[in-house]
Amino acid sequence: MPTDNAPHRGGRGYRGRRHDRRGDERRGPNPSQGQRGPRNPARTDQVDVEQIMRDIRTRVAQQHGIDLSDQQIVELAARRLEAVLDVRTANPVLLDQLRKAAGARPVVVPSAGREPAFQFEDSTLYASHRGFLRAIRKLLNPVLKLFFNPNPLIAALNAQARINTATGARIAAHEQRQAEWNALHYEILHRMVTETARLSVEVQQLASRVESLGARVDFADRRVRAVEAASLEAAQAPSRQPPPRVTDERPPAPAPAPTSASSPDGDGATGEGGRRRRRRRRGRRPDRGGEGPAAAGRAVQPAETDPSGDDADDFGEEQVADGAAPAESERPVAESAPVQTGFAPPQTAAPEASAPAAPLEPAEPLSAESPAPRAVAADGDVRAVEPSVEPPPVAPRWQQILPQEPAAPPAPPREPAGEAPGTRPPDDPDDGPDRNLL
Amino acid sequence: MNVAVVVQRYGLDINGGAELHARQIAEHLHPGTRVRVLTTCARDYVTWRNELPPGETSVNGVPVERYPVSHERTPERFAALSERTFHRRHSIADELRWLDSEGPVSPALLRRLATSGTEFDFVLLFSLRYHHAYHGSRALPDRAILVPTAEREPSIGVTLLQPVLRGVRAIMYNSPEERRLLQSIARNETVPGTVVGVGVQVADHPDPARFRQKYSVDTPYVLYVGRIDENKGCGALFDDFRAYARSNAGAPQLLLIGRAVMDIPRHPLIRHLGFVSDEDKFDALAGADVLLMPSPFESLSIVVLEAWALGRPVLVNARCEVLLGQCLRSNGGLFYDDTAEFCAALDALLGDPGMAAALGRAGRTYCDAEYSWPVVEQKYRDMFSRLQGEGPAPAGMEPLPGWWAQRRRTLPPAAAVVDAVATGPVLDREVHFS
Repeated sequence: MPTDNAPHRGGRGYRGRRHDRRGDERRGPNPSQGQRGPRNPARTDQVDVEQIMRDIRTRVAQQHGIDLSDQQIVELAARRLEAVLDVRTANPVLLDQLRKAAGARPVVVPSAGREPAFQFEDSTLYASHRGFLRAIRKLLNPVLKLFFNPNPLIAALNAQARINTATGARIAAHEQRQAEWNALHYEILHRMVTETARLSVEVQQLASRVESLGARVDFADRRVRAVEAASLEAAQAPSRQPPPRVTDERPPAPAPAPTSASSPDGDGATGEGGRRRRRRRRGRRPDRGGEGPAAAGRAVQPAETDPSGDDADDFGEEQVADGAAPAESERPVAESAPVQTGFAPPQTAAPEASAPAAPLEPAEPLSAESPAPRAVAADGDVRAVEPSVEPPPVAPRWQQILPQEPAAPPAPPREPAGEAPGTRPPDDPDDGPDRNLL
Repeated sequence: MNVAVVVQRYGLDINGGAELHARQIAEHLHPGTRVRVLTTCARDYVTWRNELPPGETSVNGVPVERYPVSHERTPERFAALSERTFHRRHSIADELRWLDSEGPVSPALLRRLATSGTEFDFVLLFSLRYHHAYHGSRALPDRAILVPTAEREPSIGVTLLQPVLRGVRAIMYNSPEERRLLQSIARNETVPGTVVGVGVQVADHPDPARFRQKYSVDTPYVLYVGRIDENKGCGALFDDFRAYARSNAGAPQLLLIGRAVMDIPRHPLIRHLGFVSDEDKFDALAGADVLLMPSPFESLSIVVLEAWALGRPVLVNARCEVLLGQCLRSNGGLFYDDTAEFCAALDALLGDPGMAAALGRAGRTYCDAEYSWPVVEQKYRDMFSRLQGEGPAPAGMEPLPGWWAQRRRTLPPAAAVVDAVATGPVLDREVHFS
């Protein structure tokens, strides 16, 4: 696996001074070898702690933007809790009580049993703390009963006393239970918000990881295809006829709608490797559209130099550093040709329009003999053709079938390095069947 | 050649860093050199109480003379004087009182040194900050070879010690970082010195399987060996390891070997084995995936060297400049500054056995080259030969100032002196190990 932090290899820092003082035998692995020293068992003794720690710290720094401490998560949750407990829809006093209840111990309401129960008995009417008075009342009680019967009054007051006691106990129990429920509800709510905040942070982190891994998968996939194509070319190179020498005249236009099997090569997409690649591409990019007229120009652009997608930013430097990069830049030209010819509208079969599709001969060396039509720069890099030489854009057949699609705009001038991020990668031979279904 | 080793404590059951260092040096130099150890009767480095009988004895074949300590340390007085010396402007008299309160004060030992005459060709004085090293160096400056065992702590910044560092015949440093620290404080670059440290000797055939069977360890583990103490960074280690275990389902066990002076958290992956024999320790080291050393202050970690000698990688606290420098010089271990780096570094070590093995091999190479006993012994003998070839000491010890000058409180706080010295690892290995 290529190093993730190859650009940091020469980073400055206090430990970097050591490189100047040590001998070559203690230096870290050569970046051009593409392998970190300690990862390579064959070169394990050249382990470089400084380099390892730089890599580790780079990884930590990359994660640091999303990693939050527990305290930070609690603070984040507190802010979210404020949003949940909106004061416009809830009673602020109630919220204050909830917060206090969450932090305080459960409210203890005095129970009814602790209150002095007033027992109203038949002697209560005559009770007194003065013994003499109590004796006089007891002495005159028969006289009092001559005037009225106090027993119903005593019974009623006695019953009322019992009712009051029971009611007080019931209310106290209810209040205590309610206070406990309030505290519990607030605590549950607080924990849920905290956990939600934590999970949202984790989701962000996982999303970042998925994005990063997706980019790595894309890059690895393209490297696999590059290696496959290179191996196929290497295997077929001895048996291939020398390509016709290209002069000033344009190369012949491709067939209007040749299948991938009828490509001049017949090898780039017809083998088992081609089918495998097609399956991979279909499964991985099912929803990428945007194939427009500019595809005719993009057809000559190698897939490996395509900056569309996430991996272009992530692995650009690895591509440069990779020793196989030149081979990759040649190979997609051969791959792209059948696709372009297969899905281009018939108008694109004109010689001028087919100029970008000229590199149908993969064995043709990228030399100065085929400058513009092949869109190959003098330094050997595959370049996009100039937009001025392109024909007026014609929407492909599948776009014309779709009534809701707006008319395709004219092909914008493209950057030599590629197309805008997020657009469909050009000349992908594996997208052909999908477009045929349209 | 007669050599005296002067150290504050000495004995088989005394395992302090400097004391063990002194004993190993004495025992390894003894076959080719007549070595005599001069020490005190103390066993406890806090009180300096006389617990061992005075007189002459023998430890592992090395003759040992013990002298009584005149007074024990008073912690309150020592703390007050330390506060004044370390953090306030003070005087030479304050520093002398601080040194006297720290101890171990053994007038008989100092008299023995002062009256030794030409009995010893060289006197190896261990532990710069103690009473015996200061006064012993002043008593025999032309024969004193100092083994400072200094760490980055305020006591090293005491002004009183600077003339000693400039006046002894030679200094045997433990690490390039210690050498830089002392040279920055005392400006004693002209004093002969070399980075020696101590030799490492491990079992020839450690058996991790034996350890696993004996202690029922059936999973991968990382290891900590040493006193389990907050001052050794163990509290932070537990926090860091728990954070790592939370984020890694396949985290290994953390095995702890050593005496615990702090509470060990209850965790299914943290296990304390207590004291173990040397054989078990080496078996455990040989079978560990990583040795963890969280201590922020180490002058020389022998267990780290032992792990390297057994080919195991280490993960150390980057705040300890000595350990950090050793890792960088040896390429034998990784280091961390915080929890995130701890987790990432441990994950890298556990997730890449090839890299871990390479680190262990590099550590072993470094250990063999710098810390094997033949190398250490040879460095001592080379120093002896060099000093004998140079003849008598050229400068001598600077005298103490006069009575009034000693009482002028013009000296800066010792902590400020140490803080002013540059930190960080010393990376130029070729220069400092020469």
